[in-house]
Amino acid sequence: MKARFLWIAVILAFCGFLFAIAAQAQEVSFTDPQGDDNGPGNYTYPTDTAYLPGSFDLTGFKMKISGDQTNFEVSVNSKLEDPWRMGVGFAVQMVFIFIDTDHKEGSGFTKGLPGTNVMFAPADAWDRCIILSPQSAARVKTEVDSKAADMASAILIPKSTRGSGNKIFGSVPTKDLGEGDPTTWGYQVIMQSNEGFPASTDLLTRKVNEYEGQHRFGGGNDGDCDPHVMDILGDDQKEQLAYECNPDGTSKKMATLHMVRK
Amino acid sequence: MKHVNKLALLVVAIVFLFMAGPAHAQIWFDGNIYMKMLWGTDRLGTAIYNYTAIPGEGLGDSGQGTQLELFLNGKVGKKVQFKASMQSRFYKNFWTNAGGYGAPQACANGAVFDPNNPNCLGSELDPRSNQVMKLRNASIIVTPGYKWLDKVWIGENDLGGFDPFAIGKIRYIDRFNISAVQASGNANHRKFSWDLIRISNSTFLEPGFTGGQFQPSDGTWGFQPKLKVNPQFDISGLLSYAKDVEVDPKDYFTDNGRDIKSRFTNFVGGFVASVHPSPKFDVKGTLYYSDSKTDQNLNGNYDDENFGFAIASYDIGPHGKKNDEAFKLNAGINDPWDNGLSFQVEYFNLGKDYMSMWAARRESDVLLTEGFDAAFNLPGPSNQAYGVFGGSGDAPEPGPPTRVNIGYGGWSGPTVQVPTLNADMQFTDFDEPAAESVIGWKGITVKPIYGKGNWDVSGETTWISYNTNWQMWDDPTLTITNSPYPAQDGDTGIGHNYRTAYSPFRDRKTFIGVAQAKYSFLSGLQVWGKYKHIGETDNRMNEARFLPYVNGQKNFYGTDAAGNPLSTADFYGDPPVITVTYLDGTTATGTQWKPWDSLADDDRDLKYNVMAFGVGKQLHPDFYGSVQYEYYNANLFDGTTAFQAYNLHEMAGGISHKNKLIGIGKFTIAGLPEAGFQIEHNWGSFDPDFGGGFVPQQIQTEDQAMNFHQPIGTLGFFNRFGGFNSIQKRTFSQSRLKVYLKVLF
Repeated sequence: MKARFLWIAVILAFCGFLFAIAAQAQEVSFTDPQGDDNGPGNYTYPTDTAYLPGSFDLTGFKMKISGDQTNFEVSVNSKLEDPWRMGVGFAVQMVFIFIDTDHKEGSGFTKGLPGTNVMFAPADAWDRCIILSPQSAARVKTEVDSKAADMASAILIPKSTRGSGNKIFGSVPTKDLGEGDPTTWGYQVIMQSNEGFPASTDLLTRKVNEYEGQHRFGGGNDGDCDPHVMDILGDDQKEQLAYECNPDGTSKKMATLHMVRK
Repeated sequence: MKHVNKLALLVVAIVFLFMAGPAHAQIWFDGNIYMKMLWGTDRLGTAIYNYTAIPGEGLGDSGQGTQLELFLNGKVGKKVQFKASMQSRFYKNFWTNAGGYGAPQACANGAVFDPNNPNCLGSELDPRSNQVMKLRNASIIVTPGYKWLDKVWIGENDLGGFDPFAIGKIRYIDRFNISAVQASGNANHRKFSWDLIRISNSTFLEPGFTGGQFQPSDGTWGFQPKLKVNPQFDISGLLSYAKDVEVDPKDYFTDNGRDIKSRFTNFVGGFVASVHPSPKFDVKGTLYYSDSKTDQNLNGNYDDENFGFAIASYDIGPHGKKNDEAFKLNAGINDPWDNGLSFQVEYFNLGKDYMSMWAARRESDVLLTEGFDAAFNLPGPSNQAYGVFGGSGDAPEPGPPTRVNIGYGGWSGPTVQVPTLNADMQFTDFDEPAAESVIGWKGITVKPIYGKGNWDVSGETTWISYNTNWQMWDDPTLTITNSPYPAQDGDTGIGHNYRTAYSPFRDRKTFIGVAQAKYSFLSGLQVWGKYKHIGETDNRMNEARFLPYVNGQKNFYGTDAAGNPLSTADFYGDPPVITVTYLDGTTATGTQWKPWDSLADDDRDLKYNVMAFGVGKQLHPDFYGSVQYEYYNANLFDGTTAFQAYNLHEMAGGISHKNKLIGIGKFTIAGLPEAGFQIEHNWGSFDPDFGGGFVPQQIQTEDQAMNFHQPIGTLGFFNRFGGFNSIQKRTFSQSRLKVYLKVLF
């Protein structure tokens, strides 16, 4: 009798171990250095007091599959506030989560989303992008349909996005991410800013200019040759976001991102 | 036709600008068209905004209007940019005006423009009605490329880069246009940055809401250094000095020019420091000191400035020579256990004499608490000031008596808190958030926030005491009607009254508790609920020496500087003995109101509860809709008929029930970023309880019924100033709709 209980305990423990492994397999997380919310190294925040220090400093990313939903969680180095009354717990941030599900050159998109002024290395072309925006899902979808129609099928917009503490959350149906093992996928996260009145070519993104303005990042170029990105995943951020401009403000060398993997 | 021509000229001018610009210049323009349609059962139609506090401006809940706004931007050289904006006047531009065509409506006899008559509509010569384009702002930005100087912005008009306690973001409304010159630079690889600004003062931000005789020279200097020591610590300072300049009226000899004096100065200095050791913890401290001097008589004697503020006086701040501090300490504990639970804590203390002329008036929310509710932002159960006197004020004449304000429903949601007496609600509609002054508030707020899975849950507990807890304005040589402190709308009623910070007697404390939750279903359906409680007591007069009468005799609490005896009975007069013959022929004899014979006669005790439930969903790719129900219950004792709400306002003591049913729709269509509607039905009741000790009077004539908006036969009492308070249960209802759309181009 005693042995039987022992076996049951061992089996249960083993099952628990397997369950833990399985559960772990459904979660991917990365951390990012603090204090690198300066794009390629010299970007500065807008001057309006709505942009708290650390607001665009990406510190962590987590993706967790929970049944038929996959939850995304992005941490920043500041508490979240809602000075523009977006009603979702945050206002100034805008997050793009790019996923490369197959790690194949020629598969996916190498160009970034409108307004980010970045591209991806061919081997790290993205297959899915999740947008965490304080704007309503309908507004984001409308913008995507009108400004990134060729990529719209690969862009996933959570029905609701919200912020709490220093984390921004959003969920999408797991099936929309495609087949495969998420632990083998590549990920990249772009920290941008929610712009309610974007330029006609920008997907709700805030511009980076040569000098910071009330609602403009500074340290870049007044043209569109500079990456409009404040922070990304990876220790080699400066190298990834390195760029060169022509005198007329057009791009000579565009910032090129790559994915990070477990 | 004239306006068509003006618009055509504008378009031609813009085209010429493009053509005439230097070959290398980049010039572009964009803009928007905004349309608003109002409908309401208060039937007010003298402006396309729901609220104004300015006599003669007019307000409305019905009508349609259009506004065109053009932004012109240019980069005319590597180092020079410009920006300009023009906007058509919107304020009284009803579609029914047909662009101002036709005879003036309801203006003074023979007048085509009568700015002091809110009912005057339709005149083409009234700039509030004729749809002319107006320059809102023009600015030039120079970026010289110097290492130490980033840019010079001539014509800055937003002020959003400073701190709301000292220089706050400016409201962008129909007529509030400011201009400033701002220089910004940096050193040490941007670890140190600075802003230097000179703002031209807006006249209505100065004492008496006027800039005096020599207002074009009035200005404010500001300097803001910022130091980012490392990612864990940053600190910024802010110094500002505002001056209202006048020509010395006693300098008669002009051969050597004329001397100047200052009618008003306002120095503000302080700093904001943030410590940010980890993403999970941050602390931020804010400390400001202000010093203001008002010398309207230009005689250098600040003490004689006080006086003249009666109980219903309005101004931007206290007069005389005043200084005080404002302090705030915030701590954020952000999801420390990675379970979605965060905490925010705030200690705040704003001195009674803290004053910054340029502090944020509405565009910022400086306290963590959600404060009082906008549904009760004005005194009286009908949510209006001075409603006890009836009349029609800004309402159209002739016609039936009507409310002269935002109406029974008030504004939407909780308020934002602003660090100025000069809180601004002008040109707002019912669907907008309201502001409230927090001058004199001190207390602590603890706010837990939980976000996990599909749940968002948060709470709040706030304890507030007041630096304005005092007796007789903190100076027993003053009188109720002679003070350096403007009492604005008074502190009576269910809510806070958005711009009231001072009252002659105060012994007040407030508790605010909030619990709210939202659940988001996977289908996109969201449901939410909220419970809020406010408990407040205010003993107001709590020293027997200030009682107006003792043992039936007039009581004196002291003497003024000239030795004259002082008594509150001069304001709170004893009631006459009257005999009332009612419409049914019965009679009664007694005092017209309760004689003031107890310290409890002006006590306040509020128990206030709100429950709200809502549901919302993206019903169509282009349309989001929500429905919310809010129930407000207030059990209030707010003084007896001896107190009479300072003889000025409707008494609100009793049981109030208010219901709000709110429908919101928002369309999302490419190119139309703002399109939607809010529709509300408000209904409720007020069952007065002002205590006894008096003989009720009765509305008995048609004139009385019209003037005081109560049916013949209504029982109540006429107060010291002739106003009428009903003592019978009143029911209210108000429906209203706002439709808006904005197209960007």
